[in-house]
Amino acid sequence: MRFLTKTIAFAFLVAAAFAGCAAAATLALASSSLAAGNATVSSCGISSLTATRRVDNSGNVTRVDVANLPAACAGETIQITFVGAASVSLGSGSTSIGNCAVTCSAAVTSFSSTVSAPSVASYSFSVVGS
Amino acid sequence: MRYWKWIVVLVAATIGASTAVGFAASLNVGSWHLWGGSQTLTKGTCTVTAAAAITDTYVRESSPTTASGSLSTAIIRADSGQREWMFIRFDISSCALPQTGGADTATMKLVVKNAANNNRTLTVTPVLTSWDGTLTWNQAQALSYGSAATTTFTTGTTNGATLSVPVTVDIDALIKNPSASYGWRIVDNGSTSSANTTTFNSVEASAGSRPQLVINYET
Repeated sequence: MRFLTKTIAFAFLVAAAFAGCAAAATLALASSSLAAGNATVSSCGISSLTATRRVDNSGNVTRVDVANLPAACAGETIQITFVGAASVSLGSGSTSIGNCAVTCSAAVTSFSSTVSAPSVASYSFSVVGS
Repeated sequence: MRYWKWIVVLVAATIGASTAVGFAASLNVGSWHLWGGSQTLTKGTCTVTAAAAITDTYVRESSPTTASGSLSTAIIRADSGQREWMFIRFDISSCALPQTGGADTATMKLVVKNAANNNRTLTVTPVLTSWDGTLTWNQAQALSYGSAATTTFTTGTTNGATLSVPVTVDIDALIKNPSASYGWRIVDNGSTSSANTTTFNSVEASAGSRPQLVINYET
C-alpha cells in the first residue's frame, strides 16, 4: 500500500509538471494564428533613424529617404508612418531595404494616402524581419 | 497488479496530452519586429525680405543687350518681338535651415504695380544655371531651364495687389541642396497685346512692396 501511495504521488507530480508547461504554452493563445514559444529577437543594429522627405508643389509628400541603416538590415522591410496632431496616423508606406556595403538607405515613394507635409508632426519607423 | 496498469495508463495519458498542447502552441512563430522608433519634427516660418537676399531683373527682346536689374519694376510681356521676361531668386541662407529639413509650403509674394487690362496667366519655370542683375535677353537665351514649369498663376487686374505664388517644390529642393539657388523665370505665354503687359515691383522698390518669400519649414 505504501508503494502504491508513492506511485500515485509520482504520477501527480508528473502530471503537475507537464500541466505547468502546457499552461505556459497556451498563455498567448488569442486566435487561430497563435503566438507563443521562444524566439530570439535580434536588432540589426539600429539605434535611431531620421528621415528626409520631398514634396510636390502642393506640399504633399512624394518621397521619404531614410539613411544610415546598418548593412545587417538588408532584406528587412522598413515602414514609415506619418503621425499628425493627437497622434493620428496620416498614412504610411514601406519598402524593402536593399543590399549594401556599410550603411544602407531606403526610399519610400508610395503611400497609403496623400499626406500633406504641414500636417505631419512626426515620423514613426519600424523595421520588420522574418 | 491491476493498480499498476491504471497508474501506467494515467501517467502516459498525462504526458501525451500535455506535450501535444505544447507543440501546438509553438507552430506559428514566423516573424517579429526587429526595431521601432520615431522622429519628432520641428516646425517654423522664415520670411525672406531683405533686399540683399533678393535678386531680380527682367530682360527685353526689343533691347537684347540691355540689363534692367537696377530698375524698381520688372515687366512681363507676351508680344512677339517685344517679349519681356522676369527673373527672380532668393538667398535663403539667413533662414539657417539644415539640409535634412524641408519646406512644408513656400510662397513667393509679388506686388502688382501695373496690372494688365485682362487677367493674365503667367508661367514660373526654374532656372538651372547662374545669372545676376546684369542679365540681358541674349544671355537669357543661353540659360538652362527646368523641363517642367513649377506653377502658373493669374495676375488679376488690380494694381497694388499682392499675388501669392506657390514654389514649395523648388524651395524644398533648395533647402536640401543650397548650391542650386538660381530662382525662376516668369513669362506670359498668352495672347499678345500691348494692353496685356504686367508690371511687378522689384527688389529696388520700397520695402513694403518688394518681393518676398515665406517658407513654412520642418526640421
